Amino acid sequence: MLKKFNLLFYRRLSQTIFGLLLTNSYLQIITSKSIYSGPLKGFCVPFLNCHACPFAVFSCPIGMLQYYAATQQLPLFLFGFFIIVGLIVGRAACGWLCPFGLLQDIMYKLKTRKFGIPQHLNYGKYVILIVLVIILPLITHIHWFSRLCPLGALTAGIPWVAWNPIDPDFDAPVVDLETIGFMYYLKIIILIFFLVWFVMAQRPFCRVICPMGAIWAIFNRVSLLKFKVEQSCLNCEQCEVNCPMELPTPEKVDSENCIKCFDCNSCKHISAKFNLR
Amino acid sequence: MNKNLQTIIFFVGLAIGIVLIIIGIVIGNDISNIRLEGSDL
Repeated sequence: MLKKFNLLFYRRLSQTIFGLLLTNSYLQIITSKSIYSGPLKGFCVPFLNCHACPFAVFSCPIGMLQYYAATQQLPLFLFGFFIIVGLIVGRAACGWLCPFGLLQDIMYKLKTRKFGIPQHLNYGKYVILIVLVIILPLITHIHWFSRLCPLGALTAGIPWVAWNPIDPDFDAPVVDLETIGFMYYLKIIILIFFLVWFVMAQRPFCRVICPMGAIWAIFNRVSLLKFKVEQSCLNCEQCEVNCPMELPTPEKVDSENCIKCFDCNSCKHISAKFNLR
Repeated sequence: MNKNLQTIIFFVGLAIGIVLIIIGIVIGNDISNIRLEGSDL
């Protein structure tokens, strides 16, 4: 119990400090009124983090992937980044770093009636990755996923429109309110839909929608960080109760949807290993 | 999955990843060159 508490505590600490605060630490925005565009913005973090957020220091990998698709370039460096991070830790960034995952974990704690998510919906994130992140930007040159992303609405769209400071360089508001139209309101509706879903189901965005999770999921089974169910497993199904992704464990421990959060590891019959075999 | 196959996939993948990053840097395709300043706001 003590071990479980410690790991959950460190996971929350990691999500808050590394995922939320350090990647969104551009406090100079308060005086500069324009988003950070220094050298660090050229690098992405291994989770969704809207680059247009007023406080963002790093870019979003899915935003970058769309940029390359829309400009019809092959993102060799980005592919290399995905392969290496994926092969080492798989989906661990979803569990240990992603601030949107943290928001979902917190909102699910609200006491309401809870609903499960059918397992076949888990394939939705691959469809989103292929259609909204790759194919449509490639054809239309528009970043479709970013246009609809609820995280973008929450951390960039709404804050910018609500704040809308005067840009000192142009002596005009940063956001021209007349340009706000259908897509902005659609994005807000999508955000509200997900916020309600976050309260009723465990990590629905990670399981059904997130294209970043879809990319890491591809590498999950071959990554260095692995979980193994010991032969001494009593099928008590405590791991299934603890799993934030509602995986039908122990059969699906370390499957493509496992976010390597170590919550199942609180059972002594499941061990975590950091090796090839 | 077969353990040997898993090991092979890991090392081949790692090699491909490193090669892609090196090529990306050499041809100027590395992500430090791009800026996505609020384009999707």
